[in-house]
Amino acid sequence: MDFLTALQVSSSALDAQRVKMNTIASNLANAETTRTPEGGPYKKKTAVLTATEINNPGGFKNFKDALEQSIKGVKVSEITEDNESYKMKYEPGSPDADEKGYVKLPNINLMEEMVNMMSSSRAYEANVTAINATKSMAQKALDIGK
Amino acid sequence: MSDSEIFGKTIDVLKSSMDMRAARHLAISSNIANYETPNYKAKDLKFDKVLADEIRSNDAIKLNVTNPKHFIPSGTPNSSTGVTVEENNTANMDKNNGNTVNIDQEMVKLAENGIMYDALSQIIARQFNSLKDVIKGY
Amino acid sequence: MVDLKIGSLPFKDLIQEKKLNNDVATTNGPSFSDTIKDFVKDVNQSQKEADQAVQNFASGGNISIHETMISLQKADVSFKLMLQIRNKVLSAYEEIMKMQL
Repeated sequence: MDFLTALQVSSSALDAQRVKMNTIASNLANAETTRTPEGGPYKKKTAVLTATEINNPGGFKNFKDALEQSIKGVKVSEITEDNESYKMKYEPGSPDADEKGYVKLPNINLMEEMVNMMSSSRAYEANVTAINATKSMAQKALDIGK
Repeated sequence: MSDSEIFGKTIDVLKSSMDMRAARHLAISSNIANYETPNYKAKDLKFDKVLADEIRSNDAIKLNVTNPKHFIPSGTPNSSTGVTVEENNTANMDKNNGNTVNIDQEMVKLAENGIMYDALSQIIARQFNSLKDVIKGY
Repeated sequence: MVDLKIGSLPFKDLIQEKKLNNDVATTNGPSFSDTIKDFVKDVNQSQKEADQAVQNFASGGNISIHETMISLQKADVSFKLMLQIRNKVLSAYEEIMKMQL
C-alpha cells in the first residue's frame, strides 16, 4: 500500500533525526567535560546516516517495480566517537592539566554543533510535513466515494 | 456493455494519473527522508509522456516496468513507453557529502504533487456522481 | 355469394411474408435478451472485482486506496444502471400489457 510505505519512509527519518539530535545535545552538554567514567575527556559523537531498504510485504505493483529499488528510508547506522582530535587549552591551574599545563578538551565546535542542530531540526520538520501530506492525500482518496 | 464502454477512457486516464502521483509521492518522501544521507541521489518520476500517449491511444496503455537508469536530468529514457525514474546526479554546492537532495525543491514538489492528487480525486468523484445523476434522473 | 374461407383469402400470403421478415430481423444481430444477459454478466464481473479489491486492500495487499474506491464506484454505477434498465424494461412491459386489453 503506497501510503503506508510513504509513512514508513518518513517515520524512519523522524527516528534518525531524533537520534542525531540526541547526539548533538550530548555534544553540546559535554563541550567542556574533561572527565568521563572511561577516563579522559568526553569524545565527540557523530551520528552516521545511511539509506535503508524499506520493508514492504505487500510489494509494489508492476510499473512501480522500477521505483522499488529507489525508495529508501534512513537510519543511523552507527554513532562514531572522535578518538583522535582534542582541543588543548592552556590552563595550568586546573586539576586536569598535564605536565605542560594544558587541559585536553573535547574537540567540539559549538558553531558547528548549532548548525547541525538547525539542519537536523529542519529535516525533522520537513519529514513531518511529508507525513501530513501523505495523510491528507489518503483522506482525499477516500472522498472518491462521497 | 463492458466497463470501458460505460465509463469511457477519461476515468482510466484519471486512474493512471492518480497511480503515478501516488508513486511520485513515494519518491519525494524518500528524498525528504534522506535529506542528510551522504551519497544519496535525489530521485523523481517522469510520466508526462506516458499519460499523453495514453490519452492519444485508443486503449489504455499498460504501463511497463523500466529499470532505473542513471542519467542527468536532460537525458532521454531508454524505453519510449514507460515510467522512468530519474536520478539527479549534480551534487549540491553547499553540501560536500555527495547528497543531491534540494530540500526546498522537494517541499515544493511535495505540495504540487499533493494538490494534483487532490484535484484528480475530486474530478473522479464528480465523474461518478454525474454518472449516477444521469442514471437516476433519467 | 362468394364463399369466404379464411384459408383462401390473400391474407394468408401476407401473414407468411410477415413471419419471414421477423425471422430475418432476429438473425441479423444480438437480440435484446442477449445484450441484457451480457450486461448482467459484466455487472457481476465488476462486483466480483470490487469485492476482490476490497479484500486485497483490507489484508494489506499492494492495492492503493484510490484504486479500491474506483473499483467500488464502478461496480456501484454499473449496478445502478442495470437496476434502472430493469425498471424501464418492466414499465415498458406493463404498458404493452395495458395496450393489449
